[in-house]
Amino acid sequence: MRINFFTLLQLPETFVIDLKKLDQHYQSIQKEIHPDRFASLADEEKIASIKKTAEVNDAYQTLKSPIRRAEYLLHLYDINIHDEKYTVVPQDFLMQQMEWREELEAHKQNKEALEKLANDIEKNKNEIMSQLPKCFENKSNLHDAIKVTRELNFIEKIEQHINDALIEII
Amino acid sequence: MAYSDKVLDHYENPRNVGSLDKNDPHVGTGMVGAPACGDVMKLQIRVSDDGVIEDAKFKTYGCGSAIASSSLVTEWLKGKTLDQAYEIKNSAIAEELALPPVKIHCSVLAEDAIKSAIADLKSKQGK
Repeated sequence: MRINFFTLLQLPETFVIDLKKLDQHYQSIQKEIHPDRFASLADEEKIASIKKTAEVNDAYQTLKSPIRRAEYLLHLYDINIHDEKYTVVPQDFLMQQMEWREELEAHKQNKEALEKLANDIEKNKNEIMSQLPKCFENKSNLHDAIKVTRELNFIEKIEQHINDALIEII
Repeated sequence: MAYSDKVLDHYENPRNVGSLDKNDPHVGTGMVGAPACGDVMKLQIRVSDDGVIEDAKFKTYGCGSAIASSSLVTEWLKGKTLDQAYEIKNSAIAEELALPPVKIHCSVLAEDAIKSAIADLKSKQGK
């Protein structure tokens, strides 16, 4: 079985976590297991330490991002939000996604317009993200947590496309 | 990953890209999305009074397979009755386009877009 990221980084298994503690625990574990410290050891131990380092990095990156953390928590509750069979998303939400994608397409060369769009989207994303803590309050009703996390996946995707377009311009 | 020739053909020359008037009582609009990859698909059909699909348009923001799946179904939809359209299965789309297993969800998206467009039309017409 794979190790639980929360346990690994000595944090309670909740959506709201202490980010300072996350950083502190991550750094102290990294120091302890850093492969350089094992230079004089046998190969097996070196490999074990490299593996552990990768695992801790993975855990840290996952828990640091609110969206990845939400996905991971749902995964721990046996909910795979990437289930491919799920295609029905609230219509008005999708309409907004479509409009943003159209706007991106129309202004692909226009740095100012793209930055404005990115700004609007970020505002919307932060608003949606601010709902997450409440969504995870009640473990027996994760309906909203699933909905919000899925929506954030669409928003991350368009953000990524806008970034790609901005890089092209520069 | 390599795309099949049919996917490439639809991707490079997509059929029936565009929009129909979503306020037209004869037009059904289906909107679906795949949270797994952030793809968004809009499919619209215009249906005659005797229930035959006269026109179909799509707009998809997604990977080549998603675009090809929606492009293909717009071709298939024209001339079909709503009942026939409802019978279009994602497996047929995947087979026609030779989609690899990791891209099957694109065909699922297209099938669900058809169902969503039909549902929209029916609710509009009060059936």
